[in-house]
Amino acid sequence: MFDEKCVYFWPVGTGDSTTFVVRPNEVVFQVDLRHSQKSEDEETDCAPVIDYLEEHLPKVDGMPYLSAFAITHPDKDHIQGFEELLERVTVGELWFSPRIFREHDDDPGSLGDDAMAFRDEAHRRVTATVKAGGDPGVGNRVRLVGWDDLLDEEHYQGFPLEFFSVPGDVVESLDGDDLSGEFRAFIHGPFKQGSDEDVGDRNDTSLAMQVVLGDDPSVGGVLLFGDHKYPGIRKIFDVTKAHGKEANLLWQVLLAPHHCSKSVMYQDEDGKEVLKQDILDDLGAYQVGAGYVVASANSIPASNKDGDNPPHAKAKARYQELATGGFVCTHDDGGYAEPLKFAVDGADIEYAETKSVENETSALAAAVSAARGSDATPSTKVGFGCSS
Amino acid sequence: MLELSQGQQLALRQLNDIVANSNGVLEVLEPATESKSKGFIWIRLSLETKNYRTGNGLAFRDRERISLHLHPDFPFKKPDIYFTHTRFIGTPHVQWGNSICLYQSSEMEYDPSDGMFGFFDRVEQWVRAAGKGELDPDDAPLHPPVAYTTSSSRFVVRADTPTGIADNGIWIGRADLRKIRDDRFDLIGWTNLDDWGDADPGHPIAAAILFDKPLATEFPTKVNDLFKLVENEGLSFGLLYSLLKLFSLVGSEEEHAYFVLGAPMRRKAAGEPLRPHLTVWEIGPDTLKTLRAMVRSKGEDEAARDELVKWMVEAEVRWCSVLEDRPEIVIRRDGGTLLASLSGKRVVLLGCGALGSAVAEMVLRSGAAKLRLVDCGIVKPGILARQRYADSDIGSAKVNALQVHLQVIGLECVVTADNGNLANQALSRFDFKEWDLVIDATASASVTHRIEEELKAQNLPIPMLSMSVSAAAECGSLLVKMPQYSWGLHHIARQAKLEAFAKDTGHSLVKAFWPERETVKVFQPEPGCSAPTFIGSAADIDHHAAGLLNLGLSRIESLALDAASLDLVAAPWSRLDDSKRHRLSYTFKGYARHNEQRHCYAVLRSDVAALDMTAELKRITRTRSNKIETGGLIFGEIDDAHRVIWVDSVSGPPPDSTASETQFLCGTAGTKEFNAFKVAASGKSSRFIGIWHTHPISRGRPSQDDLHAMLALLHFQEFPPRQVVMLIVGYAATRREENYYLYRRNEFVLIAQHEEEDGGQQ
Repeated sequence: MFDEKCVYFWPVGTGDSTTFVVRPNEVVFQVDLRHSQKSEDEETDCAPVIDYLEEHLPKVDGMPYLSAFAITHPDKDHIQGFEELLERVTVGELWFSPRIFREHDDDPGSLGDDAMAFRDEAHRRVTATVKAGGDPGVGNRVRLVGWDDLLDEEHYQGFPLEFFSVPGDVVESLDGDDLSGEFRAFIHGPFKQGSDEDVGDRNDTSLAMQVVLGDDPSVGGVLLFGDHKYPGIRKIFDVTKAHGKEANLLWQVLLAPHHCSKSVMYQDEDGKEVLKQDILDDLGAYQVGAGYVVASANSIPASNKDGDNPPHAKAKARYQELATGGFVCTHDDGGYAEPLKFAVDGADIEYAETKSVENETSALAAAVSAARGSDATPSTKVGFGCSS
Repeated sequence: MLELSQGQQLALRQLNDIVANSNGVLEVLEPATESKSKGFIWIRLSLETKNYRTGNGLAFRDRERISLHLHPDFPFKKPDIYFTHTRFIGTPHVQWGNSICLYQSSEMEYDPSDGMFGFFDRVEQWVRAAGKGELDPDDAPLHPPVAYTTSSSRFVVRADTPTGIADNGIWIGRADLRKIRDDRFDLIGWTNLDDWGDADPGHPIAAAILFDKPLATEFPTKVNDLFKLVENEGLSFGLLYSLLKLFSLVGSEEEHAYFVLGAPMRRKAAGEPLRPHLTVWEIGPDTLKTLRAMVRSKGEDEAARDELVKWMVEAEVRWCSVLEDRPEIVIRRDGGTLLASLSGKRVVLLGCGALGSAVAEMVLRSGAAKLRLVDCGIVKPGILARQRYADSDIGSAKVNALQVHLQVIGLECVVTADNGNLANQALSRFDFKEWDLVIDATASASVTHRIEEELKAQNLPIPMLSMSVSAAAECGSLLVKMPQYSWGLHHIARQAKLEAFAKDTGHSLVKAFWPERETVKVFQPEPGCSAPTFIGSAADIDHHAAGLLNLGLSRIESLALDAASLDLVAAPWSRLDDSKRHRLSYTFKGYARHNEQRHCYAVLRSDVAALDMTAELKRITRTRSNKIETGGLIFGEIDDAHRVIWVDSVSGPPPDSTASETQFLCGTAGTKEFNAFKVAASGKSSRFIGIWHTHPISRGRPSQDDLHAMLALLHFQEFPPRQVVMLIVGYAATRREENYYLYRRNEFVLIAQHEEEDGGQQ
């Protein structure tokens, strides 16, 4: 399964689990995780991600070995099963932004067990790294994503810069290996707390990045925006453009932020839901070739009611209008309980379509016909009478 | 607040119904917005197109945004539909980069009463075909490319493009033009650069470049883009520039120059090879002046060069309106019709009156190659009520006036005029080999008789139609003579009359054309001094002219070569009482021809008469012996004018006849009544004309007894006939032969005097 350069988007309900096979059978990078007990039951169409990882990851010292794991933010739908992952798999390096835990500082109980497990393991590794004053070795590595003032904090003082990245940086190593030419992550977020760019929403603290399994961002990579909404993504585009780093916005695969939430392109303005065409135009403009938008979410309904959580039909429709390759959903496309696979062949990222759509009956024609109405005589008896 | 018209409200209701039933396939993105066009509104939509993408056609995304531009007069004006992007620019049926061309003819294909429902059905069909790449299937005509007209000049393209372009690369030469008006040219020919010669062509010309490969489906609006386009297709800038310079020197200072560009992007019908689509580029006098300055200064004129560069980079292309009339791509609007069978044919029209002047124009418009008009009349004031002449024609010969009118229509038919008198010389004035059809619209008995006489000397090897109307123009009559029917219209009319009286006697149509004498009122437009004619309006006449012409052409298609026919047709508004049958049709072959032996009359004997004789011969053989003579009466007509004897029918022996092996004594019992019946049943066209009898085993020469019988008939009766036909069937028992003898009362005395010496034969 991990024997070729590719990206997997796992069907894990409305949540994220993305696997990058950076070097076949050797270097695998996981971004977010959602593994539920339920998924181990074959009755659901969710994939038991840890089972797959355990089975297919390269083995080091007899243990499945994951080179790196990045968390975009510690919500359950991005971190569920992490505790179990640590038990069943060796994780070489953890990526995180301390900011994502800040709002839980006052109420640590608000974090789920898996998030707590992640935070504890991350802090352990930070401590080990500071203590080592450099590479702390296998199983202890951690990459911090944050801002310079983070290193002034007590816990992080002396943290080696080689494992520290700020937005705008490019990371080309994983788990202590220099992967130049094979892996390139451009860090877009989170923004600096309290800065002009800080937009204040918890979801906007998400780690955001462009990942390229190569060295040239201009061919377009995979854009991961976590659970960012319109303001955060708007900022990412504006800031990146302002710094002249547009190449790092180019994408062949866009993971629909926040599980295909309409909050990416619809904003509430004076009580009215307004379409923000500007962000769609930008997303469209930075698409390279026949791009795909991937919704990592449960099956997307044909329409939503007010207040429905993601995924949103309207968001899907807007992505469908801009993605030249197409729009796919982890639970609507691909095989049953199997991940969507995007093979990386040189500069191209190709969707390995497993389900071909050949639909001769047209929903539009059917809609016109239903709207026009039938002229058939009644098919059931109808009674009339004068009694009240 | 946006005010919506009643129609726009209806559109939104219908649209919302579709959206509500579409399960998200169709989505209205935002409330309707005002358009810059007064009263119009925009509706922005999103349509799921994922399932229409096949890889062979338009590369739809999973969904496409579309906009509807709604006229306030919806549903009577169809909506316009656009993509909100220009990704499909250059695709057939997507014009201006984003306008979706849904209908070939919205007049025919868009149904206001089905409004948005039918419209979106069409959208669905379009998107499906576009997704499959089948908007222009191989087996259908092509949608022509678009060049948006900006010049007021029009070009009518008459001449087919040179053949073999696709095989020989780019064709360069000139288009030969005819200037019709200041703003209209006809393109009448093509001359290859190699065939140009030094001589002044003597007419306006345009440069012409015909590419061997298709160009873009939308032609550039900028000169610069046009240069790029033609360069991409293999025509170097240098060559194009040379042509520009060359043509700048051709015309006069104040005139425009024109460039005809063609590329194989048109197809007339399924499977046909691509033919060039033509566009015409107009270059203004100022640009030409600059070009000339460049030529004269050998490129040294700096100002001119700057001006030219500026023109090339910045100027808009002025495209002329091109109106196609090339046979290679235009399907005639009358294709497959009856009249279309006259295309390329040579037609003689006898009579240019009411029916004739109308028929002439129809024949001309059919695409006939030649039309000969024959009439000796002049245009009189009264005929303007129904004949195709003008006040200015009054006093002129009809043929000349009609010739001018027809020539003004401007079709490629050679119209000639002949004001000879048809009553004096009709068909014999033509060499039949040069013509394909004769139409007689004279309704003239004298012309009919003349034709009949002329056909005795020479057969007419082409079909002939003869049309006329009844006295009140309520009914039309059409006679058709096929090439191998030996006789003329007069004969056809007589045969037709017998058929009509036999089958439909009493029918109003029959009465209309063969009225009882006393019911006929002669109509004279100027009582006392004008020729009688009929009463009828221009509408009546045009109806009959068109209907009878079509009917005649359909008859020609279906009749056997030796047949003739008569059709009597009542106009739909006619007040005839037999409303159930508005058309009577009769088809027949000619009578068998024999020769009368004493006066060289032609004898035309019907098949019915032959059958009647056969029946009688069988009867006598059966009841007595084939050696017994028999006979009976002959009914028909002796036509001294045309020297023809018609034998329509014969009777058996009257009951009081007696017969033996040597003699047949024709009785008289019941014959008077029988004759009266025959006269009435034929509308007085067939009556007693003589007696037939057999010579069972000898030649059919008149015997002494036979001559006595003639003498008795012509001289010894109280009211004897003037002349009598005697038919002797010789060798009746074995090989029948018919011998006809016409005896006249006044000559019989002469015969009697010579009887002794010459056996009755002179």
